Amino acid sequence: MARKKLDTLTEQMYYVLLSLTKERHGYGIMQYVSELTGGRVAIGAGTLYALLSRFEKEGLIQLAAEEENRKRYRLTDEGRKVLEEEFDRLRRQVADGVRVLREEDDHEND
Amino acid sequence: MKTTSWALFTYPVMDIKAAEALLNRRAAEGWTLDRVYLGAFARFVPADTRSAWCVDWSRPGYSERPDYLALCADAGWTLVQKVGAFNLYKAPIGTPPIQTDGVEEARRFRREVLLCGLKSWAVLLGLLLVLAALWLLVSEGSWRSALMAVLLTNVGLTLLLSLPAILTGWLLWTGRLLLRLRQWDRAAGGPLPVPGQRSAGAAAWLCLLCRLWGVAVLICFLLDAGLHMRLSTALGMLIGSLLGLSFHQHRRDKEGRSPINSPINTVLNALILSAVLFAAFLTPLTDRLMPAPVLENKTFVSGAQREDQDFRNRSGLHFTDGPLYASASDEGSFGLRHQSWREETEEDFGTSYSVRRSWLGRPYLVPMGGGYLVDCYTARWEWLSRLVQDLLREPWYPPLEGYTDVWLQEADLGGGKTDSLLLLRSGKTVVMVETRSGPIPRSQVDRLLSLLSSDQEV
Repeated sequence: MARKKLDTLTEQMYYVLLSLTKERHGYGIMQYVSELTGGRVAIGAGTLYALLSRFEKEGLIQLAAEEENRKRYRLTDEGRKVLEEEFDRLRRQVADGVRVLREEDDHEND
Repeated sequence: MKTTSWALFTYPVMDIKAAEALLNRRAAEGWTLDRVYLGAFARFVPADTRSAWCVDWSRPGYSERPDYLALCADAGWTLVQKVGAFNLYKAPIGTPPIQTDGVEEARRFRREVLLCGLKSWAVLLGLLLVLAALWLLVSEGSWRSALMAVLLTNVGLTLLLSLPAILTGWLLWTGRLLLRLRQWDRAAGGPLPVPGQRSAGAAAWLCLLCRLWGVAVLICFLLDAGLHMRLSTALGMLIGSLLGLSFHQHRRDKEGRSPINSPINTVLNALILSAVLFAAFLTPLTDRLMPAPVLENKTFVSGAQREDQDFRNRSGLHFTDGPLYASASDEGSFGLRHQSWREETEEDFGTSYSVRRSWLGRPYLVPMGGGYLVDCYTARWEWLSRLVQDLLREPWYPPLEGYTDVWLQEADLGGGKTDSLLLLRSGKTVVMVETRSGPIPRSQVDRLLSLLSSDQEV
């Protein structure tokens, strides 16, 4: 049941899972996502905390370490699988977009 | 130049975005929040640098966890104060907001607001259950006795008088809540809409009124506790509460707080402790708050000896017999005073009595042979005296010819004795006289009406 809810990840979910391919703590995730997207995606502390709690509950990430109230997380195998599936889905979406939009461009050029 | 600025900060949970907008509006004007006093009044002082403000839900076991606060602090948000259901954070301008997922935020808001709405409805249901309990426990199912019991206690009368306003307010509140939920649904993942300033301001004032009403009910409880609660009961409750807390002193919630420090426990214990400590001082005030007494030291039968019923003999937290407490024979609320006394003529001396129960379940003596039992109810408002009259009058009481609002029920007992019951209302006063020394002559009725009208003129 829990797995079903995450068939499609939101953009913020995707980037949080992506950042946890390496072990990171909360603020590290926020910084990494901001750097990776050039500041386009900013994840608030409250939103991140809720997402981490949810991912941990659903077994997508696990607690790696905790020091001075700062928890470090990393992806589980299940989390990796979900991330890969989302990546494939996005890649197919992009491929479809490329095919349709480029065809339109080619027709216009002809 | 002004050095402080104040604002009302009693926003309901559904107006969390209005609370946040107020803090940011003041920040744009050059102010920064110093502190919110009594959970209601926000004090602002001039700001050195402008900050961004964010109001987040204060949810036990979640938003006050050390790791959550640490994450917020790392992101730039410092928790300034917890005010009721809100946590107030500030951060340097440009810091990303605490909540960046509109859908998730709307879902959380919906859950929190509905939870709060359910709690409110539970409080309303609780009020109705209190009234039902009075009906069942105090009055053994008689609605007229129950209503009289309610009218004679400060808490009961306050609740009864405010019930229409409470019900109307709750309906309006529910409508406003549904409107908010609809607005949040329409936001569709974007930033949640900020309620209008006028609407949010009106809601904040209404919330303040609700709190003041709560304080009034609390004071009424303390006033009643002195009159109706036994000292042993209050002390027993206090000791029981302390024992309960000592058994649970090692328990901790998810945030590591002891239940001893929980708001509910604090309020309950403060209430019981106040009842024990202050009731003796507040009880005399009850007498002063009641409507002015009538027929003091007067008798229904001319020349009879009057013996007032002493309500204090049977219950109450009475440590002193100070001059403040003028009349021990009176009970009641700020809207209704009840006096009760027995009268005996020389012929009635040595008569036997039976035990009856008063409106509040207290035992008192009723003359079986001669003598008169007089109950006098003085109301603050005429409509209340009419209500009392209707509560006391049985449908079979015949009206006395030639009089208005006077009923006389008589039954021949044989041997020249008549069981008589006289009920009359004059202005804001209702008097009921019971005797087996009847019949009651018209001259006595006229005398009583004359005494009442002269007393009320005074």
